[in-house]
Amino acid sequence: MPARHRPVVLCLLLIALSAAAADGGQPGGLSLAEETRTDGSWLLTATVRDDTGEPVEGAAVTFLARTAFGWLPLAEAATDAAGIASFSLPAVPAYREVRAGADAGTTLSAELLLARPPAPELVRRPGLDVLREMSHQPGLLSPYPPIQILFVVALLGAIWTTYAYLVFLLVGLRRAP
Amino acid sequence: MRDWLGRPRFSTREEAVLASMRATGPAYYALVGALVAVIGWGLIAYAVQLRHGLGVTGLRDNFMWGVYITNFVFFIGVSHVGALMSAILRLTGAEWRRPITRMAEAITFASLLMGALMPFVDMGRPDRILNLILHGRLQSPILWDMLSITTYLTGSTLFLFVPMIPDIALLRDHFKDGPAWRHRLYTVLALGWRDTAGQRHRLETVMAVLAVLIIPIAISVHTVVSWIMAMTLRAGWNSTIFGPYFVSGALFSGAAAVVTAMAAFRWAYHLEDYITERHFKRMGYLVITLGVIYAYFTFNEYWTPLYKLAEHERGYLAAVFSGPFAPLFWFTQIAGLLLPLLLLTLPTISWVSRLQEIKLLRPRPALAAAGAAAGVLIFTSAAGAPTAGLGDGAIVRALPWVLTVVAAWLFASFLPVFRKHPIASAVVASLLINVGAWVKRFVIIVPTLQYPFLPIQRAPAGWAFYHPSWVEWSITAAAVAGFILIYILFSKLFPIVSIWETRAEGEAVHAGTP
Repeated sequence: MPARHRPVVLCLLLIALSAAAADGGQPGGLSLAEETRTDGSWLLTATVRDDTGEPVEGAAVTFLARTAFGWLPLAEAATDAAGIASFSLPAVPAYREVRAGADAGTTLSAELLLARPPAPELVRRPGLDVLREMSHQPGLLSPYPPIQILFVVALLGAIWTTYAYLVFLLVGLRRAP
Repeated sequence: MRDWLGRPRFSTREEAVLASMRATGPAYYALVGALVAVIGWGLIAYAVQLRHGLGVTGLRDNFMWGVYITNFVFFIGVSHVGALMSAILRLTGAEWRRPITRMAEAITFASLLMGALMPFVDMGRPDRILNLILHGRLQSPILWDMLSITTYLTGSTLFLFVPMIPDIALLRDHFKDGPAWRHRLYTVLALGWRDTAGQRHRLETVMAVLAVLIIPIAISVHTVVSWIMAMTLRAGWNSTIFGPYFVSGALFSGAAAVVTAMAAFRWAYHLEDYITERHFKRMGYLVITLGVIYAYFTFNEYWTPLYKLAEHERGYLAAVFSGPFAPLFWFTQIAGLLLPLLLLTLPTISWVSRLQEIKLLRPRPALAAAGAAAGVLIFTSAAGAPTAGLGDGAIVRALPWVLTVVAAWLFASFLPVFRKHPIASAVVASLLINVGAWVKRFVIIVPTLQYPFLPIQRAPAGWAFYHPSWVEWSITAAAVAGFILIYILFSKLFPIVSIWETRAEGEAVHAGTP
């Protein structure tokens, strides 16, 4: 082969090798995927493959979530024949960043940032419709007053009831003997 | 006692009180006219504010509170004295209180009305006031304030009205020949009072319950007013003693306002038989006691952050003690606290009278110095920018110190004069206390806003400082005028001294009982 053809042949060889690698499936390692469910929870799927891209069966996968105090192990699962281990993550708003770790001869790890769950639809408690329309916040006119409102109402109620009693006494002055 | 027409008979001093209700000379109309004019000007200023928004005031993003809230805290503070002082003295059986309690209670009523108006004036959109109810958040001290002030206003109105019923009945019988509206008003408000044993018993019951009830309500109101500030995490406001600090300050300024009112009514309505030097002396003791308590709280309030000197509070503390707010702060401490206490204790300080033996401490040299200082002040003000010619502005910079020295000189030279005239001394002291109290509220509110934890950024240079505008000063003047007008009109409709409560005291005096 003439020397001037060598680079061309080398390039063709590289292209062929790349195509072969692509045709052979995914590269080895651990991949992590998420699937959002209707109830707000996630199905986390970890797939373990070896260097040749073949699924690894029976690899131990650990699912973790990042908290304020570090990575919190949530669950462990073994991969099936397709190299897949899955875990159902409940709808905990604090868990945004999750990780899967696997030991398949070498230590593998993959991280995933969960999509922010859609804000739950505002659930209005049944109650006094008129008041709800006037105030959408659970404030003074909420049909479900918190305890401090009850306390203030009781205190003010006692004072105003005393006022009313005194006014009643005053109005009755005319009839007093 | 009644005359042959069935009208009640009154003693000479009671006639003086009634005469004050009838007499309306030129001076009265001139005063009312002036007050109405000031109120009218204030209404015009408010109309300008409504039309153009809060931009016509000195209030900006960081300065959401200014003179209006200063007025609010001041008026609510003054309002304390009526209910609280009257109730405490009533419950403790202090008999000397009888001629002055109504004045104090009327102060409460008038100042509460003015104070309660101020937050509305402070709102750029007063039409949204209903939102405070509709979307009220009980976590908000603003809402606590609204609830407590409403409760207090109702209670103090009752507390003012109930002891007036026997007097209103006297007026009902006395003003039979007067204007029909007046007779009708007294007939309605007298509630059929005939001075029977049953009615007296019932009235005493109501008054006793009110006297007990109004004390915690009054204390809670000013505590809640202080919480508007203390519930925030800001330099100068983040304090655990703001509640008692405000209550003590309120009582101090309120008691001083009563002294001013006592002197004004004594002079204008010739009530010398009712309000004697003894009353000024006792009120003086009360003001001194309250002043010392207030001074203690003030020391506590500033000493603890000053000792720690936390990073985020340094700017604020420096501004108050030695920065742009220092003249106001030291004015409140010296002219609004120290000097009034000195003036009130003058009768017990014997060496003061010997001050006149020093020629330099006689009134004339001090007055001459004050005149010269005033002349320099006018000259430098008129000269404006060219004052640099007077030694690179050295005179202008030294002027506050010169004025302070001259004022101190003037004060010292008049001390012997004040000692000879204890009532005048008490009035000057009480006026100083009230002016100082207003300025102190300003010093509490504004410097904190100027030194927020997050620096004021991306705001026009002028927004970083608060300068009240003519609109705010006009509305403030109108509020003061409104307070005085309500007070004067009240004294023309109802006796400013309780006739029935002081009758026994008057009879005892006439019978020679000590």
